[in-house]
Amino acid sequence: MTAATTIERTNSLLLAGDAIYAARQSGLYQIDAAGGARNLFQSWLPDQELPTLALAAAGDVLLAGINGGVARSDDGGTTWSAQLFRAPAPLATCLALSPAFEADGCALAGTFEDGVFRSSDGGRTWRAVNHGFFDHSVYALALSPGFATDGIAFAGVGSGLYRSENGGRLWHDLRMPAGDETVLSLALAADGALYAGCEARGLLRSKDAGNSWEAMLESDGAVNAVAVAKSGEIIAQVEDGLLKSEDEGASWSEFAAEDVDCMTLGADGETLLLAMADGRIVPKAL
Amino acid sequence: MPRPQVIHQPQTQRALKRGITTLVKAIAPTLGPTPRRSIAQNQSKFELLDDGGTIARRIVALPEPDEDVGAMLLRQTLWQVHQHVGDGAATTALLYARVYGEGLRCIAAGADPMRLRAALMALLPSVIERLLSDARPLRGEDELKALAFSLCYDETMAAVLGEVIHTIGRYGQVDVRAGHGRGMEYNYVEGGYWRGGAQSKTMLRGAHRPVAEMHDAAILVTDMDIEEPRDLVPLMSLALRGGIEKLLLVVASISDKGLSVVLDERLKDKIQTVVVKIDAFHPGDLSGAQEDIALLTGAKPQLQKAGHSLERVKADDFGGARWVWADDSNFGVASGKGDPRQLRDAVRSLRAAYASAESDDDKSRLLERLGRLNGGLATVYVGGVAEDEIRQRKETAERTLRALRRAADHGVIPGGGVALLRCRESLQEEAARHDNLEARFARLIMAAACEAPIRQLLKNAGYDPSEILARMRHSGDGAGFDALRGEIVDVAEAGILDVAQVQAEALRRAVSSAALALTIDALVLHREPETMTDP
Repeated sequence: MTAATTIERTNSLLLAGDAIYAARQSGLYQIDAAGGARNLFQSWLPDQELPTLALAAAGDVLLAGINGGVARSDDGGTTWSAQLFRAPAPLATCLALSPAFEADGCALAGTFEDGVFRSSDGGRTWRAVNHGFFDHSVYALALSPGFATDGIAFAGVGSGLYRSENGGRLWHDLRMPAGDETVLSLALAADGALYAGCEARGLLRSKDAGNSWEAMLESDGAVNAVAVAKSGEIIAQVEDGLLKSEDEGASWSEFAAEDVDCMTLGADGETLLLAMADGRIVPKAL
Repeated sequence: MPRPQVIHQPQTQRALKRGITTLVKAIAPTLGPTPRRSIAQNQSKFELLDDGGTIARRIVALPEPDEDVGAMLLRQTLWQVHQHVGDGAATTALLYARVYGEGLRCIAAGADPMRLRAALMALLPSVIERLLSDARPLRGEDELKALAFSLCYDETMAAVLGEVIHTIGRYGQVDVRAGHGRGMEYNYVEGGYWRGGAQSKTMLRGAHRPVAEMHDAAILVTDMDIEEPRDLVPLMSLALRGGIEKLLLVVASISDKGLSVVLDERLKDKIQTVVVKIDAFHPGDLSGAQEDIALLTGAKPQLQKAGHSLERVKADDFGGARWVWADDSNFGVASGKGDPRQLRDAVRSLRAAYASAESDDDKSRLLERLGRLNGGLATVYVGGVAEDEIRQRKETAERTLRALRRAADHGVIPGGGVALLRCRESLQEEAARHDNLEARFARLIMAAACEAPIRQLLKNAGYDPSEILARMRHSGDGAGFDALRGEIVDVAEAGILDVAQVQAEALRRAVSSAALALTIDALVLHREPETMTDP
């Protein structure tokens, strides 16, 4: 793929089937095979910028986190409607869909200052579910592969990590070795291990759903994103670029030195999609 | 019966037993999933009752003074169990009656009452331990709903309460209120709220439900009385200089003159101010509420005892919240700007205090604070056709919630009387090994008592207890009877559960009280006895 048409920061990326979506300050873009970007919000809100921070998709349903709630499309991005949360307008920073979203319609949205909102009707209506939260700044969400039955979800917040065991309704704070460290990114590996990227304490891993932790990557800077490939390779986005470990964190090597805005792992677990600071969207095989 | 009088054996035992039996007969039909009700006449009204604790409370005296003593002894025990764990009165009554009845037989067979009591009390901890050895945590929403149903026998109520407790957790606070419709409604409250509304109606908006709502508001908490405008002027000037546009003032009280400052039209254009006062019945509640608001919002309380003054308030004494609301009787904050670390530490301390609190009042107060700090608040509205029905359903909902919370705290055991029945077999085996008369009798009494609840449950459901118990014995460990479906089932798999602490408390109080009653040798009946009204 080649250069995109605009050079603005990409807040998050989504690879849904063959389609690539990029959430940016001016809206939600679909990236074509040639690297061209089309603002999907233009037909909905012509000549307006709608800052978009988070993305999630299942089937034809596409959700984009915006200021005040989510933008929802159920035809793959052709038409849109705004599904607003309660006032004061929360800024949706992250979204996570139940792996059985098409059946249970369950989705969670993390917000900058207002905790977590939950939908159980496919993203049409949302209700605040902050029972148990001491900190309402939510930066990352991760749902267990068996979320539809076990109800386990994790939320990374400004002062640590929370776990829910009832589908995101009630949250319990977890003790982390780094104390009340800000958790910026989360990833659940196929084997159930939970990876938490911290603001100043590197990357941590828990193999028992957050009860105990081990350090995977010592870093003074933020781990802004983390992904675990199907093969077990761990990719961490740090301030200087991307690092990769093929031996469960024992050693790390540089994976991409360029300035990366954000990254996402394809559904195959083998392709990493990178949004570069110069606007390019670059796939990288693992 | 003439009064005053002193009654001796054997009339004492017979009279006590008649009194106990009278009370048990009124309560026993309420046990199990097919309960029958009692009707109580209260002045010109009639009250349908299906809860053993409440039935016991309504029976304040028996006509025969000697029987009355037995009934009141049991009544006191039942009410203690009801108050402490919210359920289990019928089980307690049956255990008590059986221990007393079997105990009398053993005394007639040569046991010494004092030594028999000592043997029963020595045996009790091990039986409770055995009973609780099957305890396990509740698993998921469906089990909570099933347990709630076994406590209230109301499918709608069980579904609502099960979901509410599942959602807000064991430390969540549920406010049960009388509803306006016939069914049940519920909602979750975001953040924390307190009793005590806006101090002026002009602060509220809306005709249907007047309320003041502010987004991204600053908050100041003080225990001071604001009497004069000059008390507020420096504070409001500071807020204006600091660019505050919305302000919630939590005060001890405010005079009309004080209100005139914040309601001044020129000031209102620049800063929307809502003044609220916390309504607290207990001094500890007031300071606790001030502390909690401060924790949630990051405000630094301005306290008289700390030498603070509203003239010396600084910009960083204000807290903040994303959303603040007040109506004429409550106010609340959501998504406060308090320090999560301090909040977490405070909640841990409160949870520890809750775990070690002994009185129900203390537990209830701590739970209110935990619910507010932990964001776990729900309101359940209980409806009904008539006022009496609403009151009764509200009491049932509160009782069920208390028991569900006990279950969340201490776990559940196999229900339908099976857990108690399991204790019986080992007691019978132990009895055969004991040479000491009282120790042997104590085990036999306890074994017989452990069978009493399931026998009554089967009888209430219209089955022959002996036949069903025989069928259960042949169906292996864990087998019980689903009285609603009329079949032998594995009770744990079928979701038939009892609250572990309720059963343990019922056994503990029934055995200790009945064992004490066995040692009563004489009744002294006064000329004008007091009618028991407490409770």
